[in-house]
Amino acid sequence: MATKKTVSFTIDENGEVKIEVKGAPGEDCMKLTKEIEEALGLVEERSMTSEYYQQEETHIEVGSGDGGT
Amino acid sequence: MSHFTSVKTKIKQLASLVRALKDLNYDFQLAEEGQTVSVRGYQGQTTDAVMCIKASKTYDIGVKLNKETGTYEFVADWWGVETTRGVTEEEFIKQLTRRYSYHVVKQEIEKKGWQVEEEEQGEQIHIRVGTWS
Repeated sequence: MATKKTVSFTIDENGEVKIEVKGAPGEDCMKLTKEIEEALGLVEERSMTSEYYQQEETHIEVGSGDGGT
Repeated sequence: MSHFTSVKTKIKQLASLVRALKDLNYDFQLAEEGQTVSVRGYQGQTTDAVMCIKASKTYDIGVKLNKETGTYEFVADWWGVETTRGVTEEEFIKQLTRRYSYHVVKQEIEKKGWQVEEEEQGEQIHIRVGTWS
């Protein structure tokens, strides 16, 4: 499926780069910027937004040690 | 929006470093492969490096490769650089990293054949690209 994707780069005064991908759901968007991230350096923070999970199965388990109620 | 990444830049490519130094109007000398160049510091003391950045008439900034991390590091008599060039170590690294990041981003965009739709250079640099791939 050919959909348009937008990648925005913001380089701050310290030289840190923030990359934002729009229009690419799931793993596609990770692949899109992988090489650029590796060329630049060290990924400090990565956050997914709702669009990422649209086509991905997610499984989250929350454990509670104290047994709850 | 699909994802958001924050990357701390590490200086790993000499080609982009060279472009960044040109942007900042620094003269420099790059050693031939397998060779070194001499870097001047306090009272004419010297050390060897792969690149010598001429900060002023008497002080240089050396560029050395840290083989463990694969990144380039800067060595200098920073007091000498500050008093003759007027730039502190912190300012120098910030300015250089900023221009370096810009050139790495532009180079990678070109490699991928992406179209630059918007570019803005101010305190922060913004580049927006579009792709159908």
